[in-house]
Amino acid sequence: MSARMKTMPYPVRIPKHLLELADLRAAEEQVDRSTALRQLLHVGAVTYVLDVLAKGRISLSKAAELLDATPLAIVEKAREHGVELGAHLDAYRAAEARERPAPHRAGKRRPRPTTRPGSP
Amino acid sequence: MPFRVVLDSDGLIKLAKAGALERVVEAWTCLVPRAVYVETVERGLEAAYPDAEAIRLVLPPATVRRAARHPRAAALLQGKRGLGRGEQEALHLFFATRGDAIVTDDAAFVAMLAGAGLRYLVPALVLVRLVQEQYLEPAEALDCLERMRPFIRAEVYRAARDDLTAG
Repeated sequence: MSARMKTMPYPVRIPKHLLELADLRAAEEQVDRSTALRQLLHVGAVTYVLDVLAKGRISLSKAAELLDATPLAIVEKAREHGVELGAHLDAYRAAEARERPAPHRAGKRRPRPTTRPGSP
Repeated sequence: MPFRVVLDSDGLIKLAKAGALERVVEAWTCLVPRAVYVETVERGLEAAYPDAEAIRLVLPPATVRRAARHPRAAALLQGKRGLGRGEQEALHLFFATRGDAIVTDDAAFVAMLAGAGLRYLVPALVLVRLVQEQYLEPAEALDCLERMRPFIRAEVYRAARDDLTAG
């Protein structure tokens, strides 16, 4: 969570066992109960965002907005959580098929030689 | 006319992680919306991500473009709540600059682009194209693909590897 995160009050009934969990975390992390609850909410939010991102329901930029993070952080979190992100094979194949008929040849500079320096 | 591509955060990050972004910038005309630059580079630098600095160093300032509004993009984006500001600006910039393709690996964005019949390139396919255009040697592209591997789907990695090894 970034330092510029904005907060607003919202009334919500919390199950007793979750309050107990928040108290446990508060003691472990040496924070107050509200902070512990926000931290637990954030952990759940990260998991949920990665899930809908992996399903293609939201984009990377949207995921970053929802977690108040940079897309770089989302990509790293996905890797840490073992969540596969990105376009599926059908999207790759569709793009590949579209490129095949007329590959673009024009570039800003001369193409590199296909042989490595020193090779015969 | 050089090939003109618009990159979103997903495309930028995966090409940077692969070590191929510099080659893409050399080979093609690359455009990056301001919102993408802010969310990935500026916020990434604030959070001390090394990739943010790597992207900043590779991207010439002229590649970063201010928000452009285009009615076709606005029409396509109507009711699309799943896309963030970065992808939205990428789409506007694509139309406003008459781009050839959008470089992204974002499943939600790709689905939207494919549905609209718009041209996109996923980063793994960018490597294949760079080899076809002789900007990268196959061995270099395979190295890049290996570095990209943890960040793309396994099925896409395998397809790109097959394409690169098929010659």
